[in-house]
Amino acid sequence: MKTLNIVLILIFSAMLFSACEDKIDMNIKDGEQALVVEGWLTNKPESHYVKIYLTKPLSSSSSFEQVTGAVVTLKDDVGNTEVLHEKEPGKYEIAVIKGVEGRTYTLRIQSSEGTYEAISKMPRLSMAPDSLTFKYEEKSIVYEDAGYYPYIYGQEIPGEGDYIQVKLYNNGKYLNKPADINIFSDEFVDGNYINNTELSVDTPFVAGDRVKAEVWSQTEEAYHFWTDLRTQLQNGGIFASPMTNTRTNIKSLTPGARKANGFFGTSLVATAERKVE
Amino acid sequence: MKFLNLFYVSLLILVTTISVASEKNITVSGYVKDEISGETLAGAVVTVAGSNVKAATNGYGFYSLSLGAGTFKISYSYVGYDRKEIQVSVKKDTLLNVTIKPSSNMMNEVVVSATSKKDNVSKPVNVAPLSMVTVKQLPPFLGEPDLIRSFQLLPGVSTIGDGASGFNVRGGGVDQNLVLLDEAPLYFTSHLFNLFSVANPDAVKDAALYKTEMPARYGGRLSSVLDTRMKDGNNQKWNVAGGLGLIASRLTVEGPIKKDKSSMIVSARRSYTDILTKQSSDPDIKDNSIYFYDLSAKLNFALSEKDRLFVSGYFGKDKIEVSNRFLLQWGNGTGTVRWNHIFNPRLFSNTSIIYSDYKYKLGVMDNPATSFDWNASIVDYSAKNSFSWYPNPQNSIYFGIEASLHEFSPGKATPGSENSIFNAIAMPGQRAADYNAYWDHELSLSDVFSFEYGLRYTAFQSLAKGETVISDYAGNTGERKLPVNQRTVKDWASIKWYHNLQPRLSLKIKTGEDASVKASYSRTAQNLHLVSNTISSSPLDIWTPSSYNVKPETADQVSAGYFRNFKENLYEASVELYYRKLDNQMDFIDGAETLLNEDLPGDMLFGKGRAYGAEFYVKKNSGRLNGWLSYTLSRTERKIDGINNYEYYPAKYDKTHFVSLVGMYQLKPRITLSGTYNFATGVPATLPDGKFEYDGFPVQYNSGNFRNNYRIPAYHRLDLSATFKKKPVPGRKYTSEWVVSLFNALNRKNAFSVYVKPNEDRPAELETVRFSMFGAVIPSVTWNFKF
Repeated sequence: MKTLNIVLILIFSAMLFSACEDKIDMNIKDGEQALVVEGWLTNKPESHYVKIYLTKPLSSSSSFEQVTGAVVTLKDDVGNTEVLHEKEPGKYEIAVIKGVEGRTYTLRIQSSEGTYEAISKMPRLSMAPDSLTFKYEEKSIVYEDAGYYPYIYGQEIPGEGDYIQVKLYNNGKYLNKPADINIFSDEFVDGNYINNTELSVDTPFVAGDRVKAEVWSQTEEAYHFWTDLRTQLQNGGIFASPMTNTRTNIKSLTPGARKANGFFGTSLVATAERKVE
Repeated sequence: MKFLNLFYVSLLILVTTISVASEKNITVSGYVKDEISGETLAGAVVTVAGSNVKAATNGYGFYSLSLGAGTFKISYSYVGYDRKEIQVSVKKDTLLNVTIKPSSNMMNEVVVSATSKKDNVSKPVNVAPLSMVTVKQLPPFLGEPDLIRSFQLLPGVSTIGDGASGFNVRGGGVDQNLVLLDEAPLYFTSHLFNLFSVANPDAVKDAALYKTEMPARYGGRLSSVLDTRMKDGNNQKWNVAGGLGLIASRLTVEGPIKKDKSSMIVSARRSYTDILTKQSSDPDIKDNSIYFYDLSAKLNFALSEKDRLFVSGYFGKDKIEVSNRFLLQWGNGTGTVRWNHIFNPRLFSNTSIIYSDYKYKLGVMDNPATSFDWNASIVDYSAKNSFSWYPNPQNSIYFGIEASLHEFSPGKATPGSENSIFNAIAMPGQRAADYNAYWDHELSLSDVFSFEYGLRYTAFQSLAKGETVISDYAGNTGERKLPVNQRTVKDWASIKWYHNLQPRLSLKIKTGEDASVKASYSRTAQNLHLVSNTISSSPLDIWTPSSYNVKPETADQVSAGYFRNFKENLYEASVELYYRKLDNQMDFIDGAETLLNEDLPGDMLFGKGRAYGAEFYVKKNSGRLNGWLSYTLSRTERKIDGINNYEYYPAKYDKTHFVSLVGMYQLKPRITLSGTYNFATGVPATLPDGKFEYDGFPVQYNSGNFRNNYRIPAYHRLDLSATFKKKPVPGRKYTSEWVVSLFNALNRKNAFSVYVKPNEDRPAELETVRFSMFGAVIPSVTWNFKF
């Protein structure tokens, strides 16, 4: 709803009154660095990683400072524990523990920066996709580029409080431009058959593209993280809201330690794939 | 019912005092009207030669003068009108309706203020009136004169930026101004995404902004009152006036239903933006439609010498349609029925029944699966009874009672088709009633010392609308709180009462022939709150009443000023200082969901605010060159647990310096030039100071969780216009004029906001950008006519 609002306003103000956006220099002071955790455990048959590093100043183009030598432990609520192996500096591998629906996972990080913890319960997947379709749109005020736009279908399971994210891949390449974030709550669609629902993409597809949609189950906390991130990426215009940090599930257990952000999440993933024709 | 008791007690005092007072004096009273149109004139000054006896007409043009028996020379004056003197011999109470003539001197047409030139020095309460003549003379935006934009040129009144809706007075939010159109409140005051304000200036008789203090007869908002009155309609002859502009045109028809007795006025304005887009050959533009219109109508009847009835209505609407896919429309509607009655020459009453609504609709039609219609509204029903009582020339008393019922429908979404993925959603409605009684006494103890004191009592009742669930909210401060302890109450059940006593006091001490010192204290309370978490409030923002979880907002303000006129009131100048303390100010947690959220109170945060500043003002009232300079030095801050680490932070409309320079110059008898220049410190912005990367997306990080920690670049804007009047043809009443204007003549890209976003071409990189509403000079031409 918010996005729709902003889109409308930008379109019209631009059309009628020469509204514009241009780059300026604001001379922003560097802030204190925070610890960032990026990690995800899914049911996909592949290795999972937890990356730990520090934020950098807004204007910096150097690489992130990795947090190395941390003792990173993952355990679930059925008695499994694993100490993650640091495969590359700041990149810790989950090799043993599997993502299973309903289990609660606790990630603990003991580092030179302090001790941090994140807890996530593996959420059920409330909408497994049945199929994808594509619809060709000419360039217009609504569609910035001509091309094929994706639509998704699938049954939503009754019971409110489910969240999903749809990640799209084009010919195997993950789409992660700002307009590619698709995150949904079942609040207003609970238990319904989701049909013909358009997914947002930065660039439409062309005939022959092989498109894969991964539907990830998300917890409420993860939904907040992703919606905050989407707001940051798409904010602007006269109805912009104040910039806020992404809500995180990384908690510091050491008083006075660096603040933390990022997210450790758990998801079940199902896939639909189709060639654009 | 406390307020009823209070009312009866006041009435008792009134009646006794009236009988006592009436024995001593004989009263001359009546209406002061425009000789040509028959419009009543509010704020006209009535004086008696050779005495200090003086009166001013009230909002309905009624005056009352208490005199002894004898023969008097009474003089009537009003800015822009020829003074009129009448000799009367008074033996008993006399009704004397007087008409005065608009000044024929062309120079005088350029008047800056609508009321008596000396009012700024002589009255305890400070009111900022702008004559509609001035409003029409200021450089228009796209040819449309704009009331609210004109008031933003006065000290202490500002806006967040070009295109932001509403206005901010002394550190108050846009929802803290009471905007009245013939006594009916307007909830959203903008057309076309905030570029035009809703009142059509052709239909407005006068507008006054109470920004320093709010007399007790007004209430319901914290910061200010913009009291706009529509024209009654010419009761002498039929007139047609209008204008053709680049974006909209206006037409007003007015005339007598029965000469001298009754009249009517209908005024309409419509933009033709949609007609323009339809002509486009570009299908991208052709399929879109965007327009606004407003229509106001008013009838008035003199039922007898002592009774007058007014019926007025206003409808405004904006509609936007994109390629038959999206639809957004919003609008205000109001209706007012008023009955003026003169009980006796010293007691005037007005009884009003008022309806006001604000509605919006959002429709998404592109795809049967995801289409829906979403409606929200607020509806008010009010009844008011007010009295103006003039026991003797030293005292003017205004008192009355008011009651309102407010119905809120915060959102109802209906799926657009049977196979829609959406469920029907209806947000629980809200209902509230308020009851007010006030007493407002203007007392002139001597020529030197006068004061106005008042008390307003508001009882606000939160009521259940349908079966209503009441919840407490529990959780950590600054995070979403969850409903607990839920219980259900029946339709119309009383949920919570709030009582607010609001004393007001204004003093004036004359310190010289043309100078005075004034001081005031006022307390205001507000029970209707705008739920907005964006820089500018949008038409989709909902209003919410004080309720089980939302307490009334309150403000206490002290203000002092020195007022001085020079050269026989040719120049007026003032310096004012103020300090305002605000409580129960609403804000929101990070990530708050302000629309379609049943548990909105769980996302709300409350805290306090403070605003202080100094306002400087110099004005030249008449002459070929006139205008004013205003400068405001101010600070507005909020302190809310859960934001900015519970430290004070500047409010989103805080501007340290704010300067307006307005000039109007009569180049030739038929050519007027005008210009306005604004300078302001940039408003605050919240910017991140760090970043990280997540799943390939750039993420902004604000290390200290600071709010409004930077300022956007300073604002400069120059607008120019020239008005060319056509030479009048003797014996014909047809007149016309051309208005040519340049908006943003310096061609500046003034920042509306600054934020950080991903680079278009390299989306993994962040950059700081400014958003400007106007990126260019905007010229326009308008043709106005009258016959």
